[in-house]
Amino acid sequence: MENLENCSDPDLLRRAMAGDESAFVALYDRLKNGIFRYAFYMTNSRSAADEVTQEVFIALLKDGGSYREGRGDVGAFAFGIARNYVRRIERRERPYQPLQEEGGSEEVPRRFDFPKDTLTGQLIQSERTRQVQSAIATLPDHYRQAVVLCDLCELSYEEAASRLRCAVGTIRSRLSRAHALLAQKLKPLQDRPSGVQATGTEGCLI
Amino acid sequence: MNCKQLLSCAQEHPGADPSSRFEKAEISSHLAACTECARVMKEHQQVAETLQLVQDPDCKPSTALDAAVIANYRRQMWESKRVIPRVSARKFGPLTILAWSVAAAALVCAVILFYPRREITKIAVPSSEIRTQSRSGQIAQKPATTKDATAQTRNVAVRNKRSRHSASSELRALPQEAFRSLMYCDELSCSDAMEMIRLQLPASFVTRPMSGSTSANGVVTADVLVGPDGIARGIRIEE
Repeated sequence: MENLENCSDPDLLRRAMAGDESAFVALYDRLKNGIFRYAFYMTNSRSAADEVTQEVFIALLKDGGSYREGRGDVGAFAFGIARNYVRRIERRERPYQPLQEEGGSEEVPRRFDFPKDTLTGQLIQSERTRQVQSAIATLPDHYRQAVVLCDLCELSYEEAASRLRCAVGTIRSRLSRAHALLAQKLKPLQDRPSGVQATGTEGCLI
Repeated sequence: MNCKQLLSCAQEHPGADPSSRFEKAEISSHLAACTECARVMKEHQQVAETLQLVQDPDCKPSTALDAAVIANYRRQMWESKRVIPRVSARKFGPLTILAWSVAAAALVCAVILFYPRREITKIAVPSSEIRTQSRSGQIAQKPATTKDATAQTRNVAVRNKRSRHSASSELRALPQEAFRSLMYCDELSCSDAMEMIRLQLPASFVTRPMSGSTSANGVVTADVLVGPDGIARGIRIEE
């Protein structure tokens, strides 16, 4: 069997479109993690990320003929498709999103040092995660894209710039502003009185 | 190090430790002196820590998704082999467009050549002659000589003095060769010479009965007087 590791992404795409399944599998292995992570962090839903990943690879086979090597790599092309699908899902799900409560949801103490392996610790951890996710979700779209790509998907600035088709400096400034906005949004969460020790009764939620 | 340098460093490496580029002692001394920079740096560190909360180490596509994607690929390949390639609008190349254009032009030529044609004969008729006649509802044939034309004009002038009722009765009594007025024509609208066009019309266009020899082949020959404005002013059915 031919070694496909040295094949470039455009070659793999061409061969996959011609019916070479091993080329398609190799291309899928290269791109799947990035697309799935992006879709997951943008939608905060594993099922939506699954759907986006499937649709991206179907669209890649259907519209792969419109890919031009000079305009970017296959990853960026697939990312563009993923971004469109994510937007479509967001539009579809918007009517079902719960309304933001006035004054925010019940705040979770941050400085209590619960061990993470306890039930209470896990609950508090998951609630804080949810709050951070909702804070990210309320960012303007271009800031959110920068945060998701650079901070959560751990792409370099250059990679993120090629995905979003903008300059590296733009990514830096967007990220900096996004962090400033996030700091404002998460301030109530972070300004809990520090040094409050667990007394043993905080775990009693019932 | 000043505040600007420190903040630009934080902007270039958000969440990262700026001491990778600057001396730690210099940074810590600046942060100790400048409360604003200390606050900003603390915020940056807190955001970086908070974002780590959201990162899911198990964020990977499941094996079920892998299997579904590969199954989709196989199904799509199988369908693409089954389906007869369609001719889409995008695949029309310049040669195809040219071929279609030539075919369309040939079709138009064939229609023009084989369609029953109208015989058109253009004969210039002086409008001064026809104009006066058309007012009374009849137009005489083009006179052969100037003398005839003068006599005819005189006759027409006499006829114009008659009443409207008598003009219409005269129109009914006209010989078959006379023109029938189609539209009101006066000095302003018909100032120039008219053109006479000979046409062949289907016999069904003519309401009155025609002689058998004329309408035997289903067509009637007619002369139409067309003014300079392109409007037909008179018609004469030939029998």
